[in-house]
Amino acid sequence: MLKKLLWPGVAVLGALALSTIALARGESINALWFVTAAVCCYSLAYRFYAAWIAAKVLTIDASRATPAERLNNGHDFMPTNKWVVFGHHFAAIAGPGPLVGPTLAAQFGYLPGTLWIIIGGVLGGCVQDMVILFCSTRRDAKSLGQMARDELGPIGGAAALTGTITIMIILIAVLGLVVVNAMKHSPWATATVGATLPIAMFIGLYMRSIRPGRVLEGSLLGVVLLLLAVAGGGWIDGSETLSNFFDRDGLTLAWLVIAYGFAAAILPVWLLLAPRDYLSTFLKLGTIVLLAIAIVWLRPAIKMPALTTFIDGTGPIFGGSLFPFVFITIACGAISGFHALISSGTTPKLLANERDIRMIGYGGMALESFVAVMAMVAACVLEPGVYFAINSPAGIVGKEAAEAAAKISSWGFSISAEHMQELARQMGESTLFARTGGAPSLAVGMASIFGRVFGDGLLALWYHFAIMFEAVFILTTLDAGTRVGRFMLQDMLGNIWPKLGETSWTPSVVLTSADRQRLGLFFVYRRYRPEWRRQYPVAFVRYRQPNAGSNRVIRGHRHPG
Amino acid sequence: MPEILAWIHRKWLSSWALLRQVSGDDAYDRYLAHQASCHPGQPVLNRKEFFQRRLTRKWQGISRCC
Repeated sequence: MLKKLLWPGVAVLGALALSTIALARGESINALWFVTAAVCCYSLAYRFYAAWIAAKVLTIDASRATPAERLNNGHDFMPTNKWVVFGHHFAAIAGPGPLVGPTLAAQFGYLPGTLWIIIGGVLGGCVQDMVILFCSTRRDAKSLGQMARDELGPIGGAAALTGTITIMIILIAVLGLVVVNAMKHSPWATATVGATLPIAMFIGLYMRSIRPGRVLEGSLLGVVLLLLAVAGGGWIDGSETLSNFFDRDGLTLAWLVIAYGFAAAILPVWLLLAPRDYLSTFLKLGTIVLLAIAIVWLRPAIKMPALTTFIDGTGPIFGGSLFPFVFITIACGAISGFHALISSGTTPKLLANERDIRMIGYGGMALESFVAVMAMVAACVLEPGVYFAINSPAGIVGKEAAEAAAKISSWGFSISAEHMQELARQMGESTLFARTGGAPSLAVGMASIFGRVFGDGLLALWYHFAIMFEAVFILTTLDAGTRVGRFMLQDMLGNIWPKLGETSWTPSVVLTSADRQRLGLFFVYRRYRPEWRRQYPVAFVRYRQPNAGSNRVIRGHRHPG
Repeated sequence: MPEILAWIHRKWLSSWALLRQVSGDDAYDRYLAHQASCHPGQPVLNRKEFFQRRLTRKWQGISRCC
């Protein structure tokens, strides 16, 4: 009896939660409704929709040998426990994307983003990941590029590869700017993020030479050191000479990130990339679990309205109307084509049974989508005035605090310069105005949620912990993206001159890495040297220019004048 | 009472094994077991060489999204 009532009960509860979110106007609603709606939708979709696709569309066959079983060689191909594969798959697909995207999309109000995350995830992203995982499993765990070449011919294959490289360049550039904006004129953040590099290198050395392959031990040590770095950043912030040294403007930091990206692309992986990947995975899981517990326990009220007036494209954070920009801003978390690259090639080599495809492909993405819902909650529990003050660039709202506060209040989101000053003091920053990019406002949201559990005294620590955590994430993606781009470029150039295709040939490594960085430069210049942006307009990257007195939106075509 | 303790002990051991496997901590032990069962008598890599090879392989291709 109870069993029969379970799924109808979940359906009714989910419908109730969704309609509460969708229909509430004027009164404040509780964040718990978001979590309930999301969990009910994911479990219903997993139980019925995913099961239907698996059985009827893909006709998954549990008795069929997987590539991991047929080609088992003990290292690449290896049948693995499904929870282990799930963990690897989730760690590979979920980076900073589902955290940053929803935060930015909150400028439209909580409703469009939340609906898109849940509906897009359940009907789009999860299905995509599962189907690609299935296709690759049935084709000897081939990668998406190989499958495209086999099915579509060489031109289709080349087009898929070019598309991937383009996406990656945009991704790298946007993410790089997020880190820069979080660190500019913030000695604490700059010192902490800076300290993560020597820590990662030390752990890299530790796991390679001191205690080879002791992953758990090394990661635990690294996480402790990272937490110390957060506290140490506070000490540096307090000392006058040191804090002056770490107080840098945006352009300098952007150059540093570019120089760092180049170094990271040619350094051996064991030194920086691999250890930081371990550390970021541990931090990620810990922080996500902590955030979920805190939201369920505290049940904070949502302060953002369901819809803002900015759905018409006049928003301060990024220009562009609701359609298509809610879909562009939230990619990872709802549907991301990039997951197709992970679901093909990497994950199927570990799959022990086709039956696990539903749990790993569909379930892994559903979990990432849930992370995106939590990021949306963290952005929407902030006072809307605070949210817009942090995320609006100075070019839109003005450089002076009073001027910016007046401008934001004129939009109907009342905020005072004194309130922002007090908040900045609590977070250990000199100012929180115009800290664009999404990372700082997520950090303020997370800090205020955690602060309510652990006390307000630790707000500054939580804020900088969140900044460090996002930076570690983003830099790992940045490195991995640059490196993958390098391999792809070498692969393509290798068709022209085979010597360039050798991934171990140093001149080729330097040349192709430098080329990747050169592309990154365009974006930095577009951001900081406005006169360049007319020469290199690129679609989709539409941050408001900081100098722009007008409210012009940078679109994918040339602007007159 | 002893049954409960034994049950907790079993659960602890299995969760610990799972954690080691997820993180890749026991990769070398599993490699040795695989070599012993499938390629007996052949030379095996030492711990350091094994992990170097593992890292290089992992970061050759596309291994993570945003």
